[in-house]
Amino acid sequence: MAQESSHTDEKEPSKGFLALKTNLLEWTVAIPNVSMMIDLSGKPWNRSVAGITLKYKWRTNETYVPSYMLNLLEIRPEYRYYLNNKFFVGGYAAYNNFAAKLPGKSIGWTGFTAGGGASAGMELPLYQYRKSALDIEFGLSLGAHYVLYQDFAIDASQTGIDFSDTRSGRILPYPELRIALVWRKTSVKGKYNSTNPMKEVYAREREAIQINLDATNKETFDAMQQGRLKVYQNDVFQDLYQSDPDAYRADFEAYLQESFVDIAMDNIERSRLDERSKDKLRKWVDSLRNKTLAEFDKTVKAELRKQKETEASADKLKDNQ
Amino acid sequence: MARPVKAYLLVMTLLLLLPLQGAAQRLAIKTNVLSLATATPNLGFELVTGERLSLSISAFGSANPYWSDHSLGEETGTSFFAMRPEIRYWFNGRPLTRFYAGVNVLAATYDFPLWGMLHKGTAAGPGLSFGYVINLGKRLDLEFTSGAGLLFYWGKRFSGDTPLPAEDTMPDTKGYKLTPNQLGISLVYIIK
Repeated sequence: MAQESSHTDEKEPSKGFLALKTNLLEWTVAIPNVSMMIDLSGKPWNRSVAGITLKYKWRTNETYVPSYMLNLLEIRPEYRYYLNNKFFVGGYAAYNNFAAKLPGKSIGWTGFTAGGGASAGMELPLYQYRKSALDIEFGLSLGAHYVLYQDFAIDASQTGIDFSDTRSGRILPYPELRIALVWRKTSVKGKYNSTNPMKEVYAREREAIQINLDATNKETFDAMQQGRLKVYQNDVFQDLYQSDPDAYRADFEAYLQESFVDIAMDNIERSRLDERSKDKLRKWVDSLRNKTLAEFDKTVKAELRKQKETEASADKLKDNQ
Repeated sequence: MARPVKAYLLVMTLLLLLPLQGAAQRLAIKTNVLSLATATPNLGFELVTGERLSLSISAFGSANPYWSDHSLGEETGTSFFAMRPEIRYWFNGRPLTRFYAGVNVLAATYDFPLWGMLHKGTAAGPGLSFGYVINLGKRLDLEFTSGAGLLFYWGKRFSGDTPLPAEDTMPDTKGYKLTPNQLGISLVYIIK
């Protein structure tokens, strides 16, 4: 069974770990753009995707400088996390060079912007083909960009550009709207909706360990509370506790090791978890063991103090009599 | 067999074959209402040529529409004529329905003043388009289109307040730009 699932784990990544995307809204203002998105892990339950977008509308070669301009070269790395097979959230960073001039205006601006921000959106299946799928993405990014720009004007001959000498820098909000086509071997539908089955195994193991510890603790401390202090069938315990607390502690440690740590470690070893998760659980068991011992010390100390007090008051009573 | 009989048989055979192979073939006629609103008469035809492909050809033009700029004199006014053949790919395997992407060539002649400048010449270039079609009825569709492309142009350009000189004395201009080149909301009628 474990073998079977690991087999499908290996097969899954070939199904669309790479997506190609283009934003239609930017095409409507004639800015060619393309994005490439890659799953950050080959696991079927992967939700993390890294991407990079290139937008490039170049300066054209014309006899006269055109009266309107919107030139852009932008590079935009991006990270996104799919909450399910529809919605995602993420962040981006971007750098771009730009030149923009509105028709009818005498002044245009040119410079660069750099910044980053957050993005979110949804992806819906559009068409399913035999070997690939086409999805549509509705998205929004909002960031803050530092903009360094200078003014320019078209010169008198209308064939060249005069740049102003002063550059101004400021921080501006930088939104991006997306209605994008996404091509992938598999549609987003059914891609980002599986969870790691090992997560469940891990949670179960953890729960079992906790239950085992609780039981051990309960047995020990119940015994203590009731003044029996016999954790397992050993009558020497009571004497030990009173005469030699250190030996008593060593005994308890051995008991804890046997009834909790060894069992937990054994269960961890036998579980289907990968080594990293096993190590994590082992460390956790260690920390639980130390915590329990510390608690034990505290309780013993308190108990000793209580007994001493009782003895003292008993002595006092005797004296008084 | 006499020649007229041969011709008759040939025509009859073709007529018989047409509906057979034309089961999926459709022909539509359309007009862009956005263009009409800017006083630009236009007409287009679209022929379905396969499961996913169609061939569209449209023409539009105007002479002295209401928004013409007469700043360079009464005799100048906007006039243009353009044609655009286009091959469309229908994503869902059913032409004239839902999303498509197209490759087209736009060719135009133009003559218009804009912001005190007279532009006159010819432009042509390849473009890409994307659109969505809603089926309104059995024969009526509503089509939304937008597109962008390269436009190479060559012609004359003149600015100034002197009377317009003879055309061949105006300075030449040429170049190319990447520009939005179509936007439409069209009514489509399927003829057959």
